[in-house]
Amino acid sequence: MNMVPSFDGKELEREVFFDSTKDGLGELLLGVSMIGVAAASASLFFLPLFIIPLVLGGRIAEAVRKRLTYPRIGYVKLREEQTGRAIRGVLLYELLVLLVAAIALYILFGDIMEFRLWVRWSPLITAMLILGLFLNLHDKSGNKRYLALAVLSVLVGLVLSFVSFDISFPYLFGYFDPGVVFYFLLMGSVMLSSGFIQFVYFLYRNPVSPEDRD
Amino acid sequence: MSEPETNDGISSPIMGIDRLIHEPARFSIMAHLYVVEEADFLFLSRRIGLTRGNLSAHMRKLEEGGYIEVRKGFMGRRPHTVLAITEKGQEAFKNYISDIKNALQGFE
Repeated sequence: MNMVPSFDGKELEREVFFDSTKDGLGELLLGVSMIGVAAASASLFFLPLFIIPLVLGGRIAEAVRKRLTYPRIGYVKLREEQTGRAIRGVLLYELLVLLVAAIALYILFGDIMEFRLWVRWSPLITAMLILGLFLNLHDKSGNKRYLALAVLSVLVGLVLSFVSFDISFPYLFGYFDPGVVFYFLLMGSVMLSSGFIQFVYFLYRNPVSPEDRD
Repeated sequence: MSEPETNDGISSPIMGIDRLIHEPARFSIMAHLYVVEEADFLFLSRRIGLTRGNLSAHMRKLEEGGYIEVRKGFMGRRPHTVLAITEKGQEAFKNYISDIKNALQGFE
């Protein structure tokens, strides 16, 4: 007997989100931004590497999409979540992570006012803050790759927090451990590479068909 | 509430279903536009698997019904057609889903 597949609105939303991100440009941009954060964290001299992707990244990605993505798979604009609700959600999650970090530091070391402790564990805390982003992307797209990135991110944060770097250097707040720089550098490189590979694969798999031209 | 009656005098809950949305291709167009803010012709034809002619015909019917709005412009030098669901369309789609559920209540 032929069965008509059921129609699932949430699944449709996921498929559309997945479709709209499969060119890899979002990931590539995130990778560039993370490398920019790493560079700016290491020295203020590299601050433009963080500012430029932040300010112009969206516009550059949109220009590339207009030229290369939309002629291949079409254009779609996703419904924006209610901004206020989204911002409240993000802030709440970040606060929760910081609270859990403070409790963990207190239980483990009996002190949450020691700045060096926070710096030492900053790779793991940063990874936990970014975990929310990956989980949100996984929820929206159903793409398991984001789960893998979430796991990798936490592992990198954990390992870098355990490794002691003897090359700590003075920075804005007086002391800086390079662990968090390595975290952003490593994760940024992973995102940049995977975004680039996806982008090239996307262009290869989705040639522009002359009859698809609107 | 009395059940809708057809021209043949047949009275059944299913007769009150919005026929503009009930057609499978138009339902798919409406469902896609319901979950996004807007999408272009190529995106929808790819996703739904309709030929350009078919999509164009269904698009016109939905536009005439006031369920979608169609914006024609250019992307670069190429003509570009963007579709978005209207408030009336959103309401109609929500009603359609609830009507279908009600009409088929009791069937497994």
